[in-house]
Amino acid sequence: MKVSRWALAIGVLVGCGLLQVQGRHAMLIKGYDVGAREAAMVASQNDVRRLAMEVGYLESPRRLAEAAREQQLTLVAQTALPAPPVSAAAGTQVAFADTEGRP
Amino acid sequence: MRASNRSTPLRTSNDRLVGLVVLFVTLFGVLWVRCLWLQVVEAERLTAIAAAQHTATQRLRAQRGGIYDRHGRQLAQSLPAPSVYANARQVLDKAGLAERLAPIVKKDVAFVERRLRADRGFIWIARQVDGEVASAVSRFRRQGIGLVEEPKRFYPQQAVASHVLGFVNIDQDGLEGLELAYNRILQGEPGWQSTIRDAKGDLIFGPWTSETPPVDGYELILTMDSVVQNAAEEALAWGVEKYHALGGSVIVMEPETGALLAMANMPSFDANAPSAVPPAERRNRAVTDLLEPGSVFKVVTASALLEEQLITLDEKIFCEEGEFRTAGRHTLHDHRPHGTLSFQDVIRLSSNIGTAKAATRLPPDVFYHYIRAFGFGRRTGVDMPGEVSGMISPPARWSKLSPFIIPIGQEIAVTPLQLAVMTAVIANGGKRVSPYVVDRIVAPHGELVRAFPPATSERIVTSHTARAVETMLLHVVESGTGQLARVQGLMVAGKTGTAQKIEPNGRYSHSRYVASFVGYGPVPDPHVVIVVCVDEPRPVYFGGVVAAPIFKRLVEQLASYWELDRPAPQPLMARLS
Repeated sequence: MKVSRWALAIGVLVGCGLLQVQGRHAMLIKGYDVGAREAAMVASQNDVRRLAMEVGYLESPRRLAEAAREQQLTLVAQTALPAPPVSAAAGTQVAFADTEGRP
Repeated sequence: MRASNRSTPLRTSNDRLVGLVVLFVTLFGVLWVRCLWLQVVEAERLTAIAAAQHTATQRLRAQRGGIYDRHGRQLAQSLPAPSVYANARQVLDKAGLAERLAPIVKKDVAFVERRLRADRGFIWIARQVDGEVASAVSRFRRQGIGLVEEPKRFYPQQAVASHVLGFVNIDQDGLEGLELAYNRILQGEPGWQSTIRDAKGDLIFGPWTSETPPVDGYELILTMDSVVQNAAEEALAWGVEKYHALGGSVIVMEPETGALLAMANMPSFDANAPSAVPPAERRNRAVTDLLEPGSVFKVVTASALLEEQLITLDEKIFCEEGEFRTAGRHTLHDHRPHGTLSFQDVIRLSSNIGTAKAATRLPPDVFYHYIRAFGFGRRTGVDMPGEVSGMISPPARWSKLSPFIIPIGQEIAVTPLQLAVMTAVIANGGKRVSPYVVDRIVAPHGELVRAFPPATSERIVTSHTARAVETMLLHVVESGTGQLARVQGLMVAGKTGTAQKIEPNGRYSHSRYVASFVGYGPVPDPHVVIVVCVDEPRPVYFGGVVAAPIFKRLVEQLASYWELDRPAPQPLMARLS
């Protein structure tokens, strides 16, 4: 009877110890899990930022204007306005050289 | 003898027992002393070593806030980029590794070898490299080379608004532009994290983890519109190239609020690689460079004269047939001789003599008051670094010549942004606005942190005076020196200017000029004020020829962008009536 009580006490102690070890182990597993999820979250946030920047680049007015020019589209804010003919501009220069109020 | 024989083994046995006890006691004593030594004397040092081995404390970087235009288009953003470091103490074949690593990280072999020879556990080899370089470098991991992620600033629209945005250094500190002016707001506050790590170095989170989370930087929403900015940059680049100029500036501003829609400068640079151009090309000329305004300053002179009721639009002024002796031996010239002109025509044809003669009616202190009231000689207060205040001497320091040449824009130094403020006074009916570029600051998740409403504007001239000056400026574009700024179907007002630059010997140059045009449109409900300054155009240098077409080109693009109605052209007087 005495031996059984001792065995019971030891069994309880061992059981408690095992539970504590199991709890500790589970906590470590969760700890790793939290770390992995946090890393995944940071990676996702960076992906979102990277994609937003990609969108920023793709909808850049300069890029769109250049693409419109390459494809000879004329509907994009007239970014492909032709320059005035050289001869006309030169003629105007002469005309305005007289009227300009240069100090 | 027998007794002696019997007692000897017993004594020996006792002795052995005693010896064993002594031995064990000594051993335990030594162990005990050692334990005591480790637990008490060495405890602090050993605890620190253990903590360093299984505790990881790291700085949590705050995400630097982004910068966006008024429509939410992204202008600046930070992203992680891999950086290459070395644990130089682990590298065995330093010369061999340097030879293999240098071409991959695009560095000099001698530079890499010098770094590897440093007796340091951590030393940078190449920072913020691209993904291809990182994957190529990763095969050197076992040879003491490692990769770590660092934030890098990206400007997705590249050169667009680069002078306004500025740029950051490799450690994400703002060095120029808005990145510098709003550095503290953009960079946020770093945090700290302490947790345990396993033998492989992987972090384990749990109740033992302590953390102060980082506070990410706020984001800036600008008043600028990247479409308008791009249009301004394209128009300026077109003009600078066409007239072989050194550079130039274009400012587009809302006349009612002072909100800046665009601020373009040439030469330009890609904010992603600012070190590729010399520092002089990275300055925001629109706020840092001074120029003599020349004839565009006649807007101030005319406004002061009309506001003080010292002249009317129809009053006749004799323009001395192109040559007028002022104070001392100085003679004022018009480029083309004029006889008698109405004051309106004096401005329309930009007569220096007519303007100077009319301005003599203004007492110097009154004129000086108007110059200051229009915003000259002091900073506009725009939220960008490096703004200069310009130069205008008080009347007490004026020479006898000053009352004749200041009214035509000489002996005064201004910034292009001050010219925009001046033009806005006429465009909005007489009020001086304060230009600004940041509309609001928002938290990373979009909550408003601070808004910047337009500053209270100060009335400079009556709306009646502003309308009278506007009439003159409309005629400048319709039939005066600014005809090349005419836009089909839109009424625009403006004034040309051609200013001689100052030579190193202090004299006015006869070969180097600044061509300018200030204007706004569409009248009578102007959306924008535009200032165009072109530095040293060649061979033609007149504001009406060089700067006015840039204005026109830009207004045409903006009219399309904003889908402004552009009815069939009519004579100006019909439209004014």
